Amino acid sequence: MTTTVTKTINPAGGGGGYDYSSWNAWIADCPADLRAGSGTDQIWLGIGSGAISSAANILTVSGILQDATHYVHASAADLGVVTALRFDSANGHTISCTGSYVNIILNSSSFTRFSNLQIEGTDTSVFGARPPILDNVGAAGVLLIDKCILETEKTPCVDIYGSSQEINNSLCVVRGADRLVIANLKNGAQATNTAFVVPSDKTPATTAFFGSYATAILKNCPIFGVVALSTGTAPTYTTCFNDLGSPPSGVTQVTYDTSLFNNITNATRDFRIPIGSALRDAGTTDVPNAGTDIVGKTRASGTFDVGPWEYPDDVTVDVVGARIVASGGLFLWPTIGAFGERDIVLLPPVSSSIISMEVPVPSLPVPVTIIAMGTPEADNSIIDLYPPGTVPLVDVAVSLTGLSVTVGQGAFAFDIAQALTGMSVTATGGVLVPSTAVTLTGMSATATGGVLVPSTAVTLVGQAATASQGVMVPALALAFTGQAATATGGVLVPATAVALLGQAATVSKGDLTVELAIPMVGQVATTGQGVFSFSGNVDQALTGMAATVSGGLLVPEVSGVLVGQSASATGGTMVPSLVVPLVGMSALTTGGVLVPNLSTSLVGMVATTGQGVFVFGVVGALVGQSISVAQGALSPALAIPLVGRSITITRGAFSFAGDMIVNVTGVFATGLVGPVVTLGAAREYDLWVNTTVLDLVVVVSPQEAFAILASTDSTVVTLSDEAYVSGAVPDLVA
Amino acid sequence: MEILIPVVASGAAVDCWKPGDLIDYHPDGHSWTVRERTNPNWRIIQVDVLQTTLDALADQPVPQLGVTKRVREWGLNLSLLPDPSLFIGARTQEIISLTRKQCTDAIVKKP
Repeated sequence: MTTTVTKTINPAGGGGGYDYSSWNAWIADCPADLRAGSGTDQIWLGIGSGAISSAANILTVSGILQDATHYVHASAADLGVVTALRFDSANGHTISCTGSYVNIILNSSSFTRFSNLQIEGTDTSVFGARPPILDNVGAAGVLLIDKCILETEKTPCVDIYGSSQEINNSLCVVRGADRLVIANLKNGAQATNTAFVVPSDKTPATTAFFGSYATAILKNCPIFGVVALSTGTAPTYTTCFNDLGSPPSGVTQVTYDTSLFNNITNATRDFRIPIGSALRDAGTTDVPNAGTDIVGKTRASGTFDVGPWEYPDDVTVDVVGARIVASGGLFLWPTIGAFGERDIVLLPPVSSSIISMEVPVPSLPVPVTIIAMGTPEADNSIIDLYPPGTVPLVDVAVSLTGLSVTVGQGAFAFDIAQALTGMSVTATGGVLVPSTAVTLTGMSATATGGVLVPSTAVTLVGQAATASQGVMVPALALAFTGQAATATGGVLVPATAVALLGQAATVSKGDLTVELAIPMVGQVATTGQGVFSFSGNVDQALTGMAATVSGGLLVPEVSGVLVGQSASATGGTMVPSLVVPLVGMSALTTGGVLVPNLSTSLVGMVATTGQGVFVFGVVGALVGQSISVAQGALSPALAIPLVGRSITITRGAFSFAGDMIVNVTGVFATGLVGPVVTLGAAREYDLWVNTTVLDLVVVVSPQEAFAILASTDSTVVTLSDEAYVSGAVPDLVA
Repeated sequence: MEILIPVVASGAAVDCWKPGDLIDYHPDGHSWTVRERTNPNWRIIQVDVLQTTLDALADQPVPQLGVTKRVREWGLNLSLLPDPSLFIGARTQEIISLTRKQCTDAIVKKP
């Protein structure tokens, strides 16, 4: 009985626990006769892993007696293609040979097989470059190359000879300059579902194939980036594709662009096919040679795709109450609200993910069509429906209890007409749009990397909404109690028309926009990076509200009394607009812009800017106000006297204008330069503080503008309530 | 550099691996596998040879379709090495050390 002797090959050798450090060591240890009877009755299988790079010959298979069922087979676990179909050391096992005049793989023994190998020859010399796999068996020899990626700079990707030598489900790319031929298919050699291409941004090859003696046979092969199809003996073609005019029989002309393959430029080449490719379902079924594609997927039950990559079939199933679990695809459910036929469409994902969705099931069996679309990650979709046809029926038109909906990437939308209890909705990387018209209890909605748009028309109790990355737009028309809304890296836009009690809104990165029409009690709004704004519709008292901006824009707009409000901008811009008295308000800008706009009295207000700009306008009395600028600019506009005010500037600019008489005392590092310090008619005073240690008193008349520009790091300017002391100003002029 | 060579032919075919053919080479200290260290038909030689020497030992004849005479164009003539007994029979040491001259003196081009 034939046994398969499997050995592992990896350049890490014994350090990685492998059997051989190199392919040549593996083949040199192969029995001389693998056949039954005369030999060991074995298949000598090598499984390579890791990335092998060498300037010397990688593998020479010669002197071994084989037959159709006892053979040498150099392979790897699989190509591991997860991102793009091309030679890529990030995927599977790769062999890269930099040598010139070196046979990367030389086969001189009939019946040898190669599969799942990525082989690259980087030699660019005209005569020195050799094909990744050079067969030297001769016309009577048998050779199979299957599911391989063969790339070269100049020389043909493969050189096979004889009607029993085949290359199937493989990708051959020549990507250097001045190349002549993509493949030598001689004396009846065969190629099935193998792509022969030159990237679109490279000079086309002179010809795709060189043939001699018997006619080579090509089936389901895309051939692009060439000036001519063949030289020498012309092959016969069956359902092949090419972009040249007047194609021969069996070749269909089609434009070489990204509608055909995912990417055709050299640096980012990806020769998988997209959903709408002309190569899809355009081939000829050939199960013996191409039953599985280059990554091992079973090809479509109907007509095969052209080329190494098979796009998956549409799958149509009848769901009579089921839970659907799919990986690698995306869901769009556009007609969930209506009973009858429903479509679930797997959309192009950004990366592989797992989608788990429990489907609410109507009272009658509903046919569901699941269609795999888009980029080939969806090809790995696994769709399980269970338990088949036996799940208790649930009517979508009534209550859903314990429903869980998760969207990894893509879009998920549903309409719900009645009560939802305990529903959990999550969008990891797409769009989630639940629409609910009635009471939601205990619902939680999360959008990690996409768009979440729950629309609720009635009372929400205990609802939590979170957008980690992306956009979340819950619209709420009625009372919220205990609601928490968080946007970590996206946009959160809850719109609320009624009372909010204990609501907390947080934006770490992104935008948070809330609209409030009635009183807010105990509300806390925080934005880490991004924009937080609430506007317009707050015309009543806000009590205990706190607003914080760490790194973005905070724009609260309040038109009624604020009591105990605090606003903080750490690294962005905060623009609270207040038209009524503020009591006990504190505003802090650590590293951004803070622009409170105050039109009435401020009592006990504290304004601080750490880094950035702090601007506020005050038209009424300020009593006991303290202003500090650490770095940046602070520009309060004051229309009335200031009493007991203190201003400190560490670095930056401080300016204000208004009716005031102030006493300025400053301690400056060194000299004082007063380029524009003018008393009198101009009513404009600028102190240019440079390096002088100064104890300065300035008398400012009403309506005069006054600005201090601190140009050193250590400048400290203190305005005290000794506002009527005079006498120092002339010295400044001097 | 450490090189791996067979000391007996891998088969009877004219184009099988022959004694003294270069199978593989790695820098000193390579973690050879158990099979590579214990195969009685192989030897590991530590020798400070130049890359050009390795290139020559790895060189292959230009293939003639259907006619492959040998795996390597050059090889070590084991009988020319200082202690040929090390290359006969079972392995007596895991790695054999040679000087560059000892090695290059034994390199021959095959007929």
